[in-house]
Amino acid sequence: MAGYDRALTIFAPDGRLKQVEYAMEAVKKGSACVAIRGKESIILAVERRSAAKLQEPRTLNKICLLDDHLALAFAGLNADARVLVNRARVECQSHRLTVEDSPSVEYMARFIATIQQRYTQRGGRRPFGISLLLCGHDPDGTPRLFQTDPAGTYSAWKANAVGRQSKTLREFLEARYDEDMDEAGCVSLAVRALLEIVESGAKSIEIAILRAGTEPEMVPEAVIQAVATAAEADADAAGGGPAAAAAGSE
Amino acid sequence: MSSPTEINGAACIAMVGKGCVGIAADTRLGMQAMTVGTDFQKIFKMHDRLYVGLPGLATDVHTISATMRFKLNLFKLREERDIEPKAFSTLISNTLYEKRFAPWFVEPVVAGLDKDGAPFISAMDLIGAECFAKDFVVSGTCPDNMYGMCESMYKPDQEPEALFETLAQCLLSAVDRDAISGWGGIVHIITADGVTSRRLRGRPD
Repeated sequence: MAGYDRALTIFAPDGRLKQVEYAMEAVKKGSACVAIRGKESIILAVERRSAAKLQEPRTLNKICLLDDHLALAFAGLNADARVLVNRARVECQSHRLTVEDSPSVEYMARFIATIQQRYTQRGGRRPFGISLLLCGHDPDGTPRLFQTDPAGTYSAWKANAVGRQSKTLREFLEARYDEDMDEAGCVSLAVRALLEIVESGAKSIEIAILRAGTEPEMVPEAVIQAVATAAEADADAAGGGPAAAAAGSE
Repeated sequence: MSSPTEINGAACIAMVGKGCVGIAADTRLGMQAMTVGTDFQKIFKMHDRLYVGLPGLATDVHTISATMRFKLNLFKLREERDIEPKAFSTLISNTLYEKRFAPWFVEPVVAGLDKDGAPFISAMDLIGAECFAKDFVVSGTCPDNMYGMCESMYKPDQEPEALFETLAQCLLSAVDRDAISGWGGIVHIITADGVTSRRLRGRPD
């Protein structure tokens, strides 16, 4: 197998693109993100890695607005994300200019995924080391959640996680996701999911709520703390606390 | 053979008051002598404290307002703040100069309050040569009329209500002596507390 991972445009004999897979490894090292699609709103939650003492935490935003109705969170290389987000923002405006309508979430997911795919086929460039969770409402108000990955695939999800421990988080979500959850239920689920893997509890969690017709809202830390405390209390009361914690962390 | 800026007709004035700015424009859309619209928008809100007036060829009014909306949205997403009026004036000036040898036929007027609440107005020609003033700027198909009225009636440091009166009278009188502008007007007075927009009833001709 050695040698088939040097150039991007070469298939390995077993049909894999090694560089793309290595890019996915880079994604797995990124800080975790969780997104949950509720009946009307979408919750986007990210693990905030602690900033260095002299660093301004405000500039480490991992939840990026693409337009006034679209937001995304990413896992992987920050710099790659910046480039993709910039292109996506310009495309949103370009779409508005040419068809006088805001782009649907699927359109933007397809656009970003197409860029990511292009970088897996041409030689001389490496793939973007990013998986992202793109959330928003279509012009008709339907909430949508899409995931893209370094290979350039995209698909819609009801709830998903990317980055660190994403498999664990996804299993956690699968067990507890309910289509009829209201906004508060979704926020609680997102907090509980991230609490399984973050180090310093509620301080390490950042949450954005996307509702149709309004701009995304960042949830204040006090509210996250309250939800976290309630969730921990519920978990202890239900007796599932220790078991869930043991299953969640390795 | 008509000049592109004289096909549709327009008149736009921006004026500085005490801690406020006003911007006014007529609402006529014509095809030379024939009036085809009486409620044509020529002033566009960029954000709560920044308005731009676009007199000139109507198709370019549409294009430039959409283009500036595009650029403004990107600015807001990237910078996470509203653009300052002076920066916006530079932005639109550069946008126009990009087409130096095949210009957009609009001569914009910018009016707004900066982040400290200080009034800002500017106007520019169709290739982006800005002119800054402390009192008033005009643009359109009857600039001499508007300049004359403003020079006579302008007083510095007017309160918003008085500024509205002055601006409205200047505009209405100026367009009355111009065949291709008029048919009503709209005035926006921008203050730190908000914007008041009023429609003017002028001579319908």
